[in-house]
Amino acid sequence: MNYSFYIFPTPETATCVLRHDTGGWTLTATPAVHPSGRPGQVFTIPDATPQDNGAALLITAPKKVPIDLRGTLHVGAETYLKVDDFHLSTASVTLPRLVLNGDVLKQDVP
Amino acid sequence: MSLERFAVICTSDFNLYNRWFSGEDITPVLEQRASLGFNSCRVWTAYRIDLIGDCDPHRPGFYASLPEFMETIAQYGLYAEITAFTGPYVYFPTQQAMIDHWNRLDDVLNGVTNLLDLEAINEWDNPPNFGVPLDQLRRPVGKLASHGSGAQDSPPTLPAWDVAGYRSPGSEWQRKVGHNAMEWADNLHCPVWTNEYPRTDNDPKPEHWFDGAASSVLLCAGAGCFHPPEGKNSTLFTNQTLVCASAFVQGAQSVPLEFQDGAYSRVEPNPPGILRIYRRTLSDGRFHEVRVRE
Repeated sequence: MNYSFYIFPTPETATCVLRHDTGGWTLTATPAVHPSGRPGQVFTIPDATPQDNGAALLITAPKKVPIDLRGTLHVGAETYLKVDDFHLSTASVTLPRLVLNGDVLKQDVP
Repeated sequence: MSLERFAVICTSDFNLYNRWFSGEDITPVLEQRASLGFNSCRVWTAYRIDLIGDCDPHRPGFYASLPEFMETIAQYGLYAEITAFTGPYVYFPTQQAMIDHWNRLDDVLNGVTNLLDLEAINEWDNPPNFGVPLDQLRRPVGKLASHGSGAQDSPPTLPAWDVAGYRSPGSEWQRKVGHNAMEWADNLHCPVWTNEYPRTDNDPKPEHWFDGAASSVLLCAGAGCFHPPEGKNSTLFTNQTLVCASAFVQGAQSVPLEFQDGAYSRVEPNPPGILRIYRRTLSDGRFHEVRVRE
């Protein structure tokens, strides 16, 4: 029996990748609706996944700072990732280009 | 897309790229400059000068790494004025070597958005700079460029390109950094700012730094470039430099930028202790004044 692990990223279209340390798998979540009715994404966790072992979750989306988490994955009627490692990603900062405006400068803000 | 007002609030950090490229951790310097409120720094690219540093541009990867450096300082909200030439010249045996340096800087900075400007030369009429083929340098396209600054109270390098740098004389510098730069802007029809103030160890009075920055923001393209001894070799500001730096930024930020569009006038007479009162008046009658203290 597989297990369903729901997450709710914003934006909903974010790419969510879960890599299990000992299960030997890496999964990409797919769009799904939680039984409560909330839209999100779901990982379908293989049945043979060892209980409470390490896993890493990476969530990325265009123009967003990635979220990079690690924890232990509990599988069962309620499947969840107990997070204890919080990695801050490096933001790619793009400052607005400066343009001429008479005798002064202005920022060309997208 | 929208255009938002921007005033140059810059500091000398001549040796910053050299430190970064040499593997030093410049994070504390960047954090300090950003936390003080600076939005840009002035960085040199080829020199061997006492109290500044030894920056050899012929090291492998020197040019190719410049965009990564720019990205690093962007993390701290900083733009950079990148200066190509400052004498004496130990790394360029020929004029062609200088032209190659310029072309490589120009090429590698394509697409870098946090470039304040690419400046050709620091003080073109300073004798060590004689011989730089300024008339043979190609004018950059797609980025703001300065043909260079002059020495004290002399013209910027002519013809001016997109922007230009000015140096004030020492006397009454706290009013000339803005006023005289404004006159050059009027004359050259481009943004001008004083891109090297007198050093803080030559005038440590905070009120002069406040007034110089405030009047410059009101009168020209920004406060210009704060210039302390620590800015030469890009180390942490300490002691009186910190006091002056705070005053400089506070002065720069004390002027609402909408008044840069106002009509210039000088209010007279000057009260005791005041060198000048500069005013810009908007079409709706509102005005902003800066009083520059003796």
